Amino acid sequence: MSLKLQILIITCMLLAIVVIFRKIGKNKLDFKLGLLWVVISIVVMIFAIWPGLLSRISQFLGIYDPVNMLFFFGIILLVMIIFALSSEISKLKEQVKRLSQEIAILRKDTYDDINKNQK
Amino acid sequence: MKSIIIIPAYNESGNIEKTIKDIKDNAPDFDYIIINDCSTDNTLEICRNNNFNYINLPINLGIGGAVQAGYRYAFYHGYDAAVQFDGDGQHDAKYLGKMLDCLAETDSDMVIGSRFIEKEGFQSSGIRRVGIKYFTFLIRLLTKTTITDPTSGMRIVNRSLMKDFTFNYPKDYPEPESTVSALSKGYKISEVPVIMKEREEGKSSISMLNGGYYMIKVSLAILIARIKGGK
Repeated sequence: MSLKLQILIITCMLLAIVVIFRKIGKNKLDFKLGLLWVVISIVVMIFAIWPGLLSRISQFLGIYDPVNMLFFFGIILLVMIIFALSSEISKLKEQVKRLSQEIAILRKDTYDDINKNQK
Repeated sequence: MKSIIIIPAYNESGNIEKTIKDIKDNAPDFDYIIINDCSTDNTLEICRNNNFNYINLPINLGIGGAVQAGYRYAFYHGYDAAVQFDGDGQHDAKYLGKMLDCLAETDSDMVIGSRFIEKEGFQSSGIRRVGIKYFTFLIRLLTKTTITDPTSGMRIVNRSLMKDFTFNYPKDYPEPESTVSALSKGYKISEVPVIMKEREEGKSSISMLNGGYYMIKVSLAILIARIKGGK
C-alpha cells in the first residue's frame, strides 16, 4: 500500500469519526449505531497503518490473496449491519402502528367526551 | 412552589402501592405522577384500582424516555419543581421536603439525593460503587464539580432545567449524562445526603452483563455532553 493511500485512508477515517460524534451530539444519530461505525472506522485505520496485518491474517486463515479476505469479511460485515437495520426498522414499524392506533382511539374518546359535555 | 414527583414504573406491581403510600404519608405537599412504561405485569391494573395518578405509555421507552415523559408532563402543567423518585421502594419520601428546601435555599437548578455524603443506608454493591467512584472522578475532571452520587435517581429540578430535560434527555443510563449536560450548560447542582433502601421486589434494569457496555457508553456520552455544552 502506498504511503499516499495510507494517509488518505487515515484522514478520511478521522474525519468520519469526527462527523459521527458530531451527529451523535446533535441527537441526529443513535449512539449505539454511531459507535458501531466508529469502531469500523478505527478498524479500517488500523489496517491502513499496518497493512502487514492483513497479510498475516489471510495467511493464518489460508486465504491466498489478502484482498479477497478483505472483500469477503467486508461483505459479511455489511450484510450483518443490514440485517440489524432491518430488525430496527421492523421494530419501528410496529411502534408506529401501535402509536397510530392509540392516537386514533384517543381522538375518538376525546370527541365523544366533548360531545357528551355539550349535550 | 408547585412541585410534582415523577415515578417511572416498569413492572413494579410488587412495590408501587408501597411507594405511593410512602409519598402520601411523608411528602403530602407534592403532587405525583406515575409513568407506566408499558409494563407487562399488572402495574397498570393496580394503578387503576387504587385510583393513582398515572400516565400509561403506549410503547416501552426505557427509563430515559419514561422520566422525560414525566418532565414533559410537569412542564406542560406549569410545575415549578419536579422530583424523580423510583417506583421500586428504594427511595424514601421523607427526604423530598429537604431536597425542595435545598433547591430554593441554595438557588440551585438541581439537587441530587446522594447516598455517599454521609455513607449511610444501602450503599449498593461493591462493583457498582467502584463504577460510581469512577464517574465521580470523570465528572470532576471534565466539569471541576464533585458529584458524589451521579447515578442517583433521586433528583429534583427547577422549571428551567425541567424545560431543558423536556427537549433533551438521554435514552438509557440517563443520570450521569444528563448531570454533565446540565453542568456544561451552566446549571447549578447541589447534593443532600439521603438514605436509600435495598430493592425488595422485582429486578433492576442494570445487570452485570451490560455493565461493561454501560461504562463505555456512559463515559463516551459524558465526553460528548461536555464538548457539546461547552459551545
